[in-house]
Amino acid sequence: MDIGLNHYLVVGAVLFVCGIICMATKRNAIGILMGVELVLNGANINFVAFSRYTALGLDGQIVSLFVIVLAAAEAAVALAIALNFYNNHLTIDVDRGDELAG
Amino acid sequence: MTGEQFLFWLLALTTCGGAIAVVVSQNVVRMAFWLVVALGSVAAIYFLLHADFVGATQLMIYVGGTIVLLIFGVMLTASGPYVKIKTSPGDMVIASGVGVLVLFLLIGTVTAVDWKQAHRSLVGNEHAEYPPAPAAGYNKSNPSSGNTARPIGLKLLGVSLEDTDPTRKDAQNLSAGYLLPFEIVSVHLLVVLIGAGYLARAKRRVPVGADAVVETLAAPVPVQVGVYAGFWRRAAAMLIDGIVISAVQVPAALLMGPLTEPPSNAFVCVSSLLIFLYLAGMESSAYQGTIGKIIMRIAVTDTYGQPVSFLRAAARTLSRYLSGFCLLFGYFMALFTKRKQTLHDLVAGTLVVRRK
Amino acid sequence: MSALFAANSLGEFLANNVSERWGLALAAFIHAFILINVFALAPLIFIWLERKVSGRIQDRLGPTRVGGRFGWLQGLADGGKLIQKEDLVPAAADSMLFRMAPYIACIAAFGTFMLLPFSGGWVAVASDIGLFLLVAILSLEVLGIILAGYSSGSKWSLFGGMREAAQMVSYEIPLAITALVPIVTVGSLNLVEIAEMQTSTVFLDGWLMFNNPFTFIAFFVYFTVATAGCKRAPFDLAEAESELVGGFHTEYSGMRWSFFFMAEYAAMFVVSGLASILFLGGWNTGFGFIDQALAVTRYRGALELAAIDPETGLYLTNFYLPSFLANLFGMVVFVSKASLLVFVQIWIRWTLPRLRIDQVMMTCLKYLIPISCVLFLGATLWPIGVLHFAERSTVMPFFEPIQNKIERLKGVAQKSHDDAEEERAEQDSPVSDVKDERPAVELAPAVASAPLGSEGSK
Repeated sequence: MDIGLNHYLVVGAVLFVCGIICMATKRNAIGILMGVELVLNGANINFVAFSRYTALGLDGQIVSLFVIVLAAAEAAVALAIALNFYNNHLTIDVDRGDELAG
Repeated sequence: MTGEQFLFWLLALTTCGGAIAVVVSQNVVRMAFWLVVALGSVAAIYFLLHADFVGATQLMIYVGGTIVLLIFGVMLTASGPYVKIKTSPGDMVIASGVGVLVLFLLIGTVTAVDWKQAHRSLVGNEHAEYPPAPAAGYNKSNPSSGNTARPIGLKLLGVSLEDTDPTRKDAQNLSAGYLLPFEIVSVHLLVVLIGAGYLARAKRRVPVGADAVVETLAAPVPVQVGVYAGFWRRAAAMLIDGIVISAVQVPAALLMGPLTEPPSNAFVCVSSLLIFLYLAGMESSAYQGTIGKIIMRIAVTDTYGQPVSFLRAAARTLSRYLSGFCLLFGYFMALFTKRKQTLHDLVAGTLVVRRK
Repeated sequence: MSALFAANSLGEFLANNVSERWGLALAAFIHAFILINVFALAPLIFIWLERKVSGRIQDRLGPTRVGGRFGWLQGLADGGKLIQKEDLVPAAADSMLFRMAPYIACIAAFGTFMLLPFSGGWVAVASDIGLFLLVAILSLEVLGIILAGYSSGSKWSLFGGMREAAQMVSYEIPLAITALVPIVTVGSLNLVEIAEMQTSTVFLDGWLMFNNPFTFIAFFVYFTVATAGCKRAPFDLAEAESELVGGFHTEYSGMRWSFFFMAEYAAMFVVSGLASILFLGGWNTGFGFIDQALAVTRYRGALELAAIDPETGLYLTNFYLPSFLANLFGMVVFVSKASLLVFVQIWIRWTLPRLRIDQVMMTCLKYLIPISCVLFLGATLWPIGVLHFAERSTVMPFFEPIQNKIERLKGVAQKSHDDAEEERAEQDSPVSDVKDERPAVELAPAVASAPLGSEGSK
């Protein structure tokens, strides 16, 4: 069986779903961040696969470059927020950040 | 099984296995390790897809940068080794159930599409080759295509090398390309850099009575330590400085030629240098400020209320560009920072205070 | 045999002559085998050198007994000792990560050899983004160190790992920026091209270090940062034995411990090799007449290999020995330059006292990053300024634009090649059979030798 677009898209889908589950179930703020990275990588695989297997050309690769760079920025900010959260709550468990709950 | 198939299945296995292990493991550092495995394999998949530049970027930024940052965050926030914050089994069951459903949905959608036909109808050629030959990558049969680094670089500047491709006649060359997104991302990164540093900074406790100590130190220009100049006063000072500078610059430009013509490069260089010397020199002089600042009764000091050195004033002047690059956000920071500092004040470690 | 030299790469040769399916995999294995076995030797030699140099600096003799007069087998003896030691895993450790960490560090450090060219064309993967990929793979080494620090379950190790993480994340920025400074001048990320462009005309004028004031300063900044990047003294805070016992490797013993050191010495060689390619002319000696002659010989060799028989359309496979020797000489030059820089790193280690961690971070964030940014900006503006004021692209005397230089040298090579062809044709013409005996291979379908690449056009 030749490797085609579908194969790569399915790998991307697996990464995406794993990321979603990770974001939904982890209570550690940094674990949630890792879930976000997985989701973004799943999307990136799709972009690069389309750039190889369709007439999209290099545009797909450029978009995935932007995603990588912005994900790094997002990780830096999210980590700064997580550190601030830890400074204030002395834990990284996001379920404890419930002061605003009525 | 060809080499490509073997590599694909191997990489697909490590990618998916790594991702699933991230979900399953409870120890956050192990999660990070499995994330390294997953993302590293993703980088290899990019190489397999002829996207060498994206693959290298993935390795450098994701695996070498972001994950190191994440592990660093884990180390800073773990109160003991191997902290586990367990997921409750109920959550896990529900989430995996929903996840598996979504996965089947996605796989069903993907396989339902006839990509060959879609590609041919998009290209508008019933007999277009599918899959199309890789435009770039490790494609040595077409030496002119080379690898992806140069085409991507040109594309970011707005020049497309793919216009020789007959299937892409509609996307004509010399569009703006990705220059604007590239610039926006650059500014975004700069803002993030500053913002992350601001968020994560250690809370600095100013020792009690520090201001009083500073008060006793002699300063040549009597300044009111702790009375910071407001935004509007500083804006007015800048306006006056602008008038002063253009009062010299415009006649000089008139001597060089009519104003309708763009100035020569040499003129721009010399006048920028003179403006730089004026700003940095005046701020580090005994006057502690430019003419505008003298008129508006404000002065530049360091964080201890002392006059600034020329080097510091130069750093402050150069960082003004930084403030300007963030869409003038750096200047507006004086509105809300604690000591009414702009971005260039923060960079150079200076304050602007009222004179006595 | 000559078919081997005719192929563009080992992978192509094996794919054509041995097995289409497994040729590439076989080539990858051979590359990996050669690299590991040759360059596992480099750490052994550098470890011996380290002990010898440190001994001399401290007015001692250093190792003297093992393997004769200079103790030159000391590295091997150390290795033998380490293999015999027990492989301990502390009870408090996370054993999977603990076992895995040394391999990650080692693989990252040795993986970079894949991209490091040793002479014109002597490189396992001649990637167009060689520099970028090399720095990217080198930056993975830190993961091994951090995981080792964290998984040991010891506070000394944890502190070592944290310091390493903070230090590496910071020092990678000036490392990348200063490595880009010569790139601005050359306009290519391909390490082979970068080195080829530094062929001197008279003496040292081709070396990028002397191209403009910014690249000159950038070399020293790069070398400082690279020293820190290999966590060498005075920046070895991750393993500061006076504060942290052994830092990240406190809990390690035996072979796993030695893997970290193999990785460290391999990384030292790689960053030094990179410095010599980026700034010090790579495999060029710096003497104009030698360099130009060697460059012409190498280009001639490439032409001989790529020559096509006009009658049959097959590759003539003239193996041009002088080109091979020129490459060999280039490799000797390159390895000696890199080893000299490694020696300087060792020298610095035994001369300067260790910094404090806050000083290390301050040096990077407050000084090296701004300096490297200014250098990058300067290197970008320099050609524009020189072009504007002096109407040439550099102020170097004897200068000839890079493109012209390479074209000229290639022209000389082409001419000598054509002359040889004519001569051969004259000799051949009386006896027509000779030509047919010349070994020929079919025009090879394009297959790249990249282990990570795919199967090419098939």
